[in-house]
Parts: sequence; C-alpha cells; structure tokens
Amino acid sequence: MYSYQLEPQDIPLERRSVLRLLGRETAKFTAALEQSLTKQEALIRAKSQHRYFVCRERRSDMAHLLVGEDIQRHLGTCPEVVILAVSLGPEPDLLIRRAQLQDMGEAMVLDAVASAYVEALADAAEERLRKHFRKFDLVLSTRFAPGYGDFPLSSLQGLLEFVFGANPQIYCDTKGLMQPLKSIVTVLGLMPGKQLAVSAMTEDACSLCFMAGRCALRSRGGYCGNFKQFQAERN
Amino acid sequence: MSNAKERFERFLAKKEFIFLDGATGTELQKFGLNLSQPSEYWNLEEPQYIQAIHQGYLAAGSDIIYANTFGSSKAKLAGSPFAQEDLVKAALEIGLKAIRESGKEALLAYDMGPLGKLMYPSGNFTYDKAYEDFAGQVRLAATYGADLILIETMSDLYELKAAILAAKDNSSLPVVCSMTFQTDGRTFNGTDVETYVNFATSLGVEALGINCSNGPQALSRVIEDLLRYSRIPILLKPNAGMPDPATGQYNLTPKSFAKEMGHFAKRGIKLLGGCCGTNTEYIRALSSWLSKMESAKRKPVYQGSASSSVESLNFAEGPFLIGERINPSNKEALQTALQEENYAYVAKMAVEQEACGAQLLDVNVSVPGIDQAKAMEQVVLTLIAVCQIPLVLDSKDPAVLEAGLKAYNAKPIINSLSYRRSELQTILPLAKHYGASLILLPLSDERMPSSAQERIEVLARLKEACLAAGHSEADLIADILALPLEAEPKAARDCLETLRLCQEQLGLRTLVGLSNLSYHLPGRAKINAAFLQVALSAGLDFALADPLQEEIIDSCLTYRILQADWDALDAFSRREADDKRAAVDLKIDRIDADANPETALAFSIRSGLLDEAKKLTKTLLGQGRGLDLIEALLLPLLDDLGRAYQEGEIYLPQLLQAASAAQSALDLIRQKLSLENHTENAEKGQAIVMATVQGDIHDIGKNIAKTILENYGYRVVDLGKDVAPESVRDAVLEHDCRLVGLSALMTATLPAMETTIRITKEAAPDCKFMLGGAVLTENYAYKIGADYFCADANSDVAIAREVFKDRQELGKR
Repeated sequence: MYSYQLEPQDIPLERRSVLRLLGRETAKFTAALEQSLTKQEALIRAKSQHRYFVCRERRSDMAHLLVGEDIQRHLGTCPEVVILAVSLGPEPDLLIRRAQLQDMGEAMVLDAVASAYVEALADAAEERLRKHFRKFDLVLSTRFAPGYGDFPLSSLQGLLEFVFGANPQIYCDTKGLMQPLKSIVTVLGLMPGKQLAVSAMTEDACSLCFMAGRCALRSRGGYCGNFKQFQAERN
Repeated sequence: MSNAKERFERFLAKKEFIFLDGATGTELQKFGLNLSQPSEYWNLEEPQYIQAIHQGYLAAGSDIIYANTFGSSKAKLAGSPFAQEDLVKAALEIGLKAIRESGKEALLAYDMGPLGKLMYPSGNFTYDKAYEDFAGQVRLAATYGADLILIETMSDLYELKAAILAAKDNSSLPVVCSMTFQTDGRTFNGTDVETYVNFATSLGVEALGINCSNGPQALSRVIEDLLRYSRIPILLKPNAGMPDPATGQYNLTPKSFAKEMGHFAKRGIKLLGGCCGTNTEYIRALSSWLSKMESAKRKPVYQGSASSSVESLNFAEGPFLIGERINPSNKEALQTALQEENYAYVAKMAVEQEACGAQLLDVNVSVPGIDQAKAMEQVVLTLIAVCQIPLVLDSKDPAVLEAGLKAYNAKPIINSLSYRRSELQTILPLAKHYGASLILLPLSDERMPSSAQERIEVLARLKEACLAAGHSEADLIADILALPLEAEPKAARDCLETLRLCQEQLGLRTLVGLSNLSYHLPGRAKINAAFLQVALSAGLDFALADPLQEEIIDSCLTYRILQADWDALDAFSRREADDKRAAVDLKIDRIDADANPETALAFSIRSGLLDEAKKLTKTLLGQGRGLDLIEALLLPLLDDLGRAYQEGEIYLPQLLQAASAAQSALDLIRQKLSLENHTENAEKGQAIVMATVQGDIHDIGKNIAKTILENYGYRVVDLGKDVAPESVRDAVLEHDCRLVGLSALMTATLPAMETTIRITKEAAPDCKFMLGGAVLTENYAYKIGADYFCADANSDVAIAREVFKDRQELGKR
C-alpha cells in the first residue's frame, strides 16, 4: 500500500459540483447561500484528510474481485490494475452530524460540499498518479468503481484489503457502505505505452450506470464522471 | 509492580538503545507468502520462514522481536481454517525458540495490531467488542510465554484504550503501545501526539511511540512532539521512507535510514526499529550507527490535561470554562429528555454550549427513577459523536461513573472526589484505572469545613491519597467550594481565601462552581460574572458555569484580553459585531425600514433571518396579532416556499433556513397564546414515525424531512438509522400511528424497506407508508407496498396533509 499526501490548495472545488448535489442548478443563487458555501468549504478543507492510498496489482491476481462484464470492458487489455482510495476521514462526518443539531440548512450545504470535495480529492489524486506514471511510460485509464454497471459493491471489501492490508483506514460493511462516509474506492487500468489503445473505452460510461435513461443530470446535458475529459485527452 | 514489569524496566536500563526488529510481511513475501491470506497461517504452515526472519533480526542486533501475531484477532481470523489459539501458540513458540537458539538476552513481544474495524462513533464497532477481542489475545499471550504486550499501528484512540485496558486487566505483562501518525502530526482519525501521549501514559503503559507511515525525517514533526511530551520511554519504528508506485522501491537505503534515525535517537529515543520496507540490513545499519552514541536524558514537564479524542487541554494554558448545563437539577425539559431517552436533546445542549465558548462539558444525569448508568453511557456515546471538547463526568455513584468512563474515548475529568471513605475506595481507583483527571472536593466524613484553612486540610489529605494511588499531581484540581451567598454571606471571600491557600500551600489547580454562589439571588448572571473576574485575577484555572449567559462569556473574554490574548480579542470583537452582522455581511437588501412589520416578517422568513423573524413576531404580537398570523401569513408563506423549491426556484437549504425562521415565529406565537406545544399534546394517531431502514446509516435525508414536517406542526417519532423492521412495527403500534416515512440511500437496503412495510401492515393494516431516498424510484416504491412516493423533501407535507386531512396542523387541535 502506498499512501500520499496532497495539500488543500492542490484540490480545486468547482462550485457547480456542489450546486448539482444540492439539486437545483437553476435556482437563484443568493448571497446567503454564497456565504454558506464559502464557510462550509473552508471548514471542510480545514478538517479533512488529504491523503490518497494506492496499490498496484497484476490484473490476474485480482480476477476474483473484478467481477462483471462492465469492469472487464472498462479495463480493456490493461495487464495491471491500480486501486485508488481516498477519504476525507472521520471529522467531516462528525461536523455533519453536529450541524444537523444546529441548522439543517447548513448541514445540507456542508454535506454537499463534503461529497463534492471527496470527488475533487479523487480527481486530484488521479491526475497526480497519471502524471507520475507517464514518466515511466505507463498510462492510466479513468476510474471505475464498484456500483457502476454490473461491478458489484461486494468487491469493495476485497479491494480495501488489497489497498490497506492489515491496517485499514477505510472500512466497508457487508452492504457496501463505506466508513468514513466521504470515501471513494475505485479501480483504474494500467498499461505500458503512451496512449491507451483500448477500443472498449470509447463507450459512454453513462450507459453503464443504473440510472441510464432516466438521469435528470444527463437530460440537462451534464454528467457525473470525467469521461469526456478522458476522451479529449485520448483524441 | 509485577515481576514481569520490573524485569522489563531492568532490561530497558541495561543498554543505551534497545533495538526492535524490522518488517515481517514484506520479508515473508520474499519467501513466497501470498498476501491474500493472513501471514499468521505460516506459523503453522511454514514455521521455518518465520523462524528464519526472527533469527535474521536477532543476528542483526534486535533486542526485542515481534511475534507473528499482528493479525491474530478473532475479528481478523473469522473464517480461518486454524484456531486462533493454535496460531498464537505456534507464533510464540517459534519466537521463543529463535531467542533461545540465538543465545542472546532478548525479549519476545506479543504483537497486537488493530482489529480492522472502525470504532464508534465513526463506525459501528463498540468498545466492549474491541475489549473482548483484545482480552482474549492477551490471555493467550500470557499463557504461551510472551514477555510483553506490544500494541502497534493504531490510529484510533478508542481502540487503543480498549487494547491497553484489556492488556492491563488480563495479564501482569508490561504494555507498550505505538500509534501511526501522518506527517501533519495527527492520526487518520485526527488524534494529535500530545493527546495520545497524555492518555496512554495516564492509562499506565510502560513505553509508547509511533510506527509505520513514513520515514524518520518525514515524521520529524511527530517525533519532536513525542520528545516534547512523553515522560516515559519512547519507541520509534518508522518505514524506510515512501515507496514509489511506479517502481515499488522505498526511497531510504539502510544507511540513510540509520542516519535519519540517529538524529532523533540521541535526543532521547529508547526503543528503535523499522517498519514497512525495512529488513535485516536496516536493523544492522541502525545498531551499527548508534553503537557509540549516547542518548539525552529528557525531563519533560507535565502540567495536567484532559482531552477529547483529537485534542488535549493543557491545564497550564487556562483559564477554562466548563459548560454546566447538562445537569437535570431545575431543568424539567432535560429531566424529561433523560426519562424518554431523548439523547438528541442532550446533544443539542452540548453543541449549543460549545458554540457559545465552553471548552469542556460537565455531564450529570442524576434523575431519580432512571437507569443512570445506562443514561450516562448513552449520553457520553452521543456526545462523542458530535463534540470534540473534553467531558467532565459528574456523579458520586461509582457505577454511573464507570459507565461514563468506559464509554468515553479519551481522557476525562471526574467531578468529583471527596475525602469520604466510600469514595476513596471506589472513585479513586476508577479514576486511576481509566486515566482520568480529578476534581477534589474539600468535604469529608467529618463535619463540614467552616473555614478556608479547614478546606485546605481536607484537600491536603485528598492530594496525598491521590498521589499514593499513583495519580499525577498535575491532574488534580481543587474545588474551592462556592457556597450560596444567600446562606453564607462570606462565601465569596472564603472561596478566594481557599484559592490563595491552594496555590500557596498545595500547588493545585483550582475550580469554582459559579452558579452555587448566586443561588436564589436576583441578577445571578451579574454576580457570577463579577466573582469570575475577581477569581480569574486571583489565578482561578477552571470555572463551571453557564456559557449561554452572555455575562459569563464576556467576563472570560475580557479577562483574557487584559492578559494580552489576541485570539480572545478577535472573539470578543466578533461577538460585539454580531448584532449588526446579519444583514450587512450577507450583502442582501436590508429590510425596508418603512415596510410594515408583516411584510418585513415575510421577508425575514424567506431570507432565513432567524433573529429578525423573532423580533418582528414580537412586534406583531405586541400589536395584538396572534393566531391569525399563522393562518394569514405563516402557512401560506411555507406553502409558497415549498412550491418555489419544487419548481426549482430555491435550494433546499434555503427552504430549510426559511422553515427554521418560520418555526421561531411559530414558537413565539404559541407561547404568547399559551397554546400547548403541539408535539407534546398531539392526540394519539397524529404521530408520524420516521426511520432510515435496517442496514443504512445515511440519515440526513430523513432528518431534513423530519425538520420540515415538524415545522408544519406534525409530531415526528424519529427512530433513527439502521432501524430493524420490528422496531418500526412496534413504534406504529405504540403511538397508534397512521403514517410512516422510510428512507434508504443504498440499493442493498431496499429489501429491508419491503420487509418493514409488510410486517407493519400485517399488524396495523391502516397505516400508510411514504418512501424516499436517492436510489428509490416511484415504480419500485409502489411495487414493495408503499402508499406514497416522496420525490423530494417537501412532498412529505402534502402527503401528511392528505393522510391527516380531518385535522389541522400547528396547534389547532
């Protein structure tokens, strides 16, 4: 297991990603909401962990966990797999619990900021890894997590054991619920070369999602992954 | 002290540095260990490789080797083909054999790692379960010949506590502990070094330190803190730096590792070894590098502490304010909450006090007729989930105190110990066992002390008893005993004299319970604040008072400002500016000064301005308005806000903030009109039961729905999260409930929804179900038996109106 540190300033947080989680991208953006967002973002940045945990394995050693057609399609011909785990740690969970006792509106904003921030942390960690591997002529795919398509949540526990071994920092129960709550565990393909030569990865990741066909976000032209960025890079 | 501990002390004293071993897991991989199975299996399957690793480290210079037992907990070995006892026995036999054959005088440590479970409150694993698992391991370790218990790679202070106490309660072996810190000076769970050092030392470990994470130099901040704070021998067992994910190589060579270790060793580290990435070459280089070095003798000064799980209060950095409000005496609502096991109410009191400036919280649950031990345990567990300031456990009942001490995940203060035989026999040993600091009360089995000097004499005897029991003097706080001025006019002067004599003759920290002084007098807050200033100037360390009294906070802040504390000046300036802050800082249009109060009230509610809403409501009530405000203004306003939310014009937080402002107006109207609280007097059949289903702990959606429903005047029976189907059914029957709201955020828990609906409707066929949650679709909701589907947070209100359409909300019963 490899564990690395990012700094808060390395993690840009798009306001749009928070607003999407608040469910009303078209709503009027008041000064009160702006103040709340600014305050909660500062709090989350101050109280979160900024570590990411990485493990690199042969794909064949993980065959029992990479279950389902969709993950296989995503990994294409990559011979190796990188498991990336990030977490904001337990403090944001405590802050959200506490905020619910004081002001439910602020608690909601805090929860949305924390959810967006952990995604931003994963993005920043992924980008750093991608750049690092590039120096060794290794190319990294995009993220694909248990719960996407037919990649089952039941694989999470095994992935965490690969990353953390005997000393977990992120935990998972039998139903796939991770604790601390603001945690992400995801799988990326790794292969030698300068460019991913995997035709399967041109598929729209949204088509694999259980909300495919009824996603309010897609109906407005948005998406929750970074697949388009990946496509732009490839092309 | 046990023989084993004396032997360990002599062992440590024999050499300048004691060398530990290096990594085991990575070394076993070289022999072909597959990481998909626990390395402990090789204790039985391939013992020769374990033996070879031990022999290698002993030859390289190790004085203490770690048995291959890191993952030997019942939790980690669940499903193992081998019995835990067989694996542990084999591990210890291999280690002892390696030591015998080496001919060295070396020790074998039982290596006890984390259980791999996330402890409460971050997770669901309880202290009791953790303790039991560790206790079982310790008994095996003692049976099969370990020389010491070595707890390592911990990142959770609560889990560490369980491990240390399990070790101390179940064997007489010496106990050493080690936590894993990040380079920013905290564990993953947020604990800082000072908190860890103070707590582990107070629990009675023989040595402590850090392991894993990174290389020595990268951990310099953590090591500096260890050297600064630890009064007992220090252990340092870091990694060989950081591995490169592209190459797999660690960045420190054996020589560079030894050099970095040497830099810290000579400043006072006693036990040294290596963790991930190290091997016999690293240990050999280390022992060679340090062979001619001497270690500095450290003498850190300990000044007393209490802590939460993340941070310590150093008693020398006071004065400190202890919030006193969690005490049921004269607080009917708190008594009711404790009787009804409504611990969320207590949590709100705690958060409120912390927000006002309390730095510690006193917790007293003395309500006749309730199970006070259970109440203390549950209150403490509730508070550690939402607060990060130390707790003061306030009880004279040892069973109640012990419940709180066990539940608390850090170093508390006990309020209090007096010089009475029963307390010396019960409370004093409890405090020692659980590592608590103590408030000493100058009362004894003899007569009540009538002068300051008599109080000092009792305190002196108490101090002596505490020191004899092994407490640190710095952890003792003398209560200078404020009696009511109403009964004793000289009470304040006696207090100040006691304070002076405490400092001069006993050298103890001091505390006063302010509210006692002004009991039954008019202007209590002013009297308390005035005495507080005088006492602080005389050197008082702790004040137990009501932080919601502005005079108390102002008194504390102004005292600190006069001591050149600029943080206090900032806090004071913010408080002074608060009245003007709301409209100005929010940069919204100010309420039109010419607007009539009704228009202004509507504006303030829409904008979520709670204080403005309260002021305007009082104005309108003063003009003779009342119930009509609810019907003509508040209800239509809430409906319009709900519509605006559903049509995408406003965000849910805005709706919630507006609802809170509306609620504050409603509360004032009801008080004025002497309407009974609708949540207390709602007739049977009016309640809505809400829960997050079994297996799911996401509850924010449910909490939002509950808030909105309560704002509309509905009584909500909140069962919490991860609620079993039977509990929902039973609550429906108990409250004769007609509507249940269920939420789930995970597809895996949807079957639990179906079961809940089915068994509840079997018992209460007329009960309606409304379901909500991000993973739910309308079709699925109806498929599993729901009567209503909640598309968003505001739908619940429309549903509740339909279900209760023969009743009106908001107190008109």
